[in-house]
Formats: sequence, structure tokens, C-alpha cells
Amino acid sequence: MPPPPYALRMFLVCLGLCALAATAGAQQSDVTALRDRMDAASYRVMLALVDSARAAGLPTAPLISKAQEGLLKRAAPGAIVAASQGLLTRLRVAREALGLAALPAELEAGASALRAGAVARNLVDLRANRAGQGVTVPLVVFADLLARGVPKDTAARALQAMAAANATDAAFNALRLSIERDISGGMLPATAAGMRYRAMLGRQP
Amino acid sequence: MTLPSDSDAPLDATLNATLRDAVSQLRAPVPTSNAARDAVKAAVRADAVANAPSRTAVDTVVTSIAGRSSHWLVTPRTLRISPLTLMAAALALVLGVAALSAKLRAPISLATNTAMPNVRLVNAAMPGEQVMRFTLSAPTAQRVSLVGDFNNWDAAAHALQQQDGTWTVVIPVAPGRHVYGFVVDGSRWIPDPAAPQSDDGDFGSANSVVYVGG
Repeated sequence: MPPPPYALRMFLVCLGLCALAATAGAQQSDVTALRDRMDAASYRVMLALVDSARAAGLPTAPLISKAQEGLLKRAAPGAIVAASQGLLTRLRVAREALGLAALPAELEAGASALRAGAVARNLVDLRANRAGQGVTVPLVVFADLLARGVPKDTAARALQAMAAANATDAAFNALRLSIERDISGGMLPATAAGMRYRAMLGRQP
Repeated sequence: MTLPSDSDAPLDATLNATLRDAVSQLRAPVPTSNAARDAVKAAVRADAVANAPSRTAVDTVVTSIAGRSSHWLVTPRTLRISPLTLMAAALALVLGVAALSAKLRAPISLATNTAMPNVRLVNAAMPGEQVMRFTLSAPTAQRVSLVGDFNNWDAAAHALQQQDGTWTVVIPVAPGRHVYGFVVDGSRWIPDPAAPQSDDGDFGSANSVVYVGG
């Protein structure tokens, strides 16, 4: 097969360069939004963190979002940088636990669960018990239960049992709502969680 | 016409003159009548029709055009285009694709459920993206804004409208897990009381979480 004509090759090269420039411009615009609102030193650290995440194949949007959240809440630059560094570390751990094929939403939910007190083993077990299905919603529920005071082991046991029973995302969310109602009604978080997940799985408390 | 004999002299000059005369006569038009010419033309036409394949004149024209087109398409040729024109063409193509992508954001369908009931799914704006209604009951508030990773935590991006003490805003949200909250009266941070919490604790206040399925 003869090589494509010179004009076609030039066109393809120009097309690639334009697409590359457009992509780089979009990414740069996110980061420049931080530059305009941060001091130079903090901005340089944020740039390094974003580059690190990109090089590791991790989502960069959560890092930028974390910094923007800190700016909105008028956090100190040091606190913003520290929070972003911690998030990057948790994203790495979540990726190792959930696998290379994990979706960005799963990684973010996993990082959030880790921040709330879960350990990598919890993520690994949840992934194994929910093979072929997403773990974003279970991890969101996990982080929520931990934030509401449900002990880690109790929450993990409840969610693993639900996942092993092929519970749907809606069932996970229904579990969260029922536990939340019980806690609001004065029940201890551990009691509410244990009772509700057994009830949902048809077991006796 | 007479041919020269051996006794005629000079032989060459006579032969040349004779040949010129013969050529001249052969080149002269043959005198024929109009009727004879018409008869010859009619005979030629009849013979052509009798021996031609069963094709119409249109068939012939189309085949001819198709043949020329295919020949034009497959024949290698040299294009003379300046690099600037090429770059402009590539840029136009990229912009065209971007414009087409934006056009595809037109509403296409309705949906009725969501993985998280704290915010209500209104409809689907594009494949995967969903239009969500966020509400907060705050009867004494003067203004409420929705902030989250979907609007770069910009308090000016999405102001809620109040009716009977309930503040509401409807926005499109891309698929994925999103954290958000409400800013009341410009300074007070309130997570969505009906949504799951993401108590990162990084900046002193919890966020709410919504998961939009793809």
C-alpha cells in the first residue's frame, strides 16, 4: 500500500495538533482557575499534585475540586494543599484496592470511605463480593454510615452481606435511609445498622 | 485518365503530373444527390440500431459519467495546498466536531428515578447526563446557593429560587459521584439534610453526596 499523499499527512498532523491543543487548553483552564485564587507557592504544589495524578492515571478533577472547595470555605492555603495531598494518597490506595479498571466515581467514593475510616481491605472485599457490578453506591453508603457514627466493622459487615446477596443500588440506599431514620429516632448507630441490614436480608436480629 | 507510355519523355515529369491529377480527382467531392445522401444515412442508422446492445441513450450517458467519475476518484493526483490552509481546515474540523457535540446536548428523553433520592431527577439532557432538582427548606434564609464539584464550588453559579420557604434549583449533572452543599446568606454552609454525607472533615464541614448513574 503506497504511503498517503503529503497533503493528507500534513492534514492529519495539523488535526492532531489542534485536538491536542484543545485538550491541553481544557485541562489548563481548570488549573488556571486555581492559579488566579491561590498564592504562587500553593499553586505550584497543586500543579505538581495534578501532574502526579495524571501520570499515575488517576482522576485529576477531585484534586482541583478539593482545592476549590477549600477556597470557597476560606481554608488556609496550607490546609488546602494538605487536604489535596491526602486525597491523592487515598486515590492511590483506592485504585490499588479496587483495581486498574475502577471508574473515577468508584475511586472518589473509595477515597471518601477511606477518609471516613474504612481500610483498603474493606474496599477489596466489597469489590470481590460485587463482581461485575459497580461499587460506587455501596462505597457512598459506607462513607455515610461511618460519618453517622456506625462502627467500621459493623458497617463493613452489613455492606459485605448486602453485596454478597446481590443487593441493588436502590437496596443499599434504602438501607442507608432506614439506618439514618433509626439514628435520628435515638437508636445507637451500631444497633440500627445491625438490625436494619439483617432485616433487609430476611434474617432475625 | 491516361497513363504515359515508354516512348513519352521525360517519363518522371509526366508520371508526376499524372499522379497529381489522380490525387486531385480523388480528393474532389463525389457529386451525389440529396436523396442519395439521405438514403445512405438511413441505411447507416438502421444498421446501427440493429447491431447495438439493448441500452438507452440515458444508460449510455450514465455509464459514461460513472466511468469518468470512478476514473477521477481512483486516479492519483497532486494537491497543492498551503500549510496555513491545512491548519485552517484542521481547526475548522475540530470546531465543527465541538459544535456538533454541543448540539447533541438537546433534551432527548425523560427519566423517572435516581440512585439517590435526596435530589430529584427531572429528565435526561444528553446520554448519561441528568437534570436534577435540588431543594432545601430554609424559610428564614434571604438567599441560597448550590455549590459543588459540578460548578467548581462557585457560589455565584446556581442561585436557588424560593417558594413557600422551599428553595429550589434545577441543573444538569454529569454522570459520576458528586459532592455538594448549600451556602445560605452568603456565609453559612449547610449540607443537604436528606442526602448521604461525605464527612471528609478537611475544611470543617461535611459535604453531601449525589451519585448520577451513567
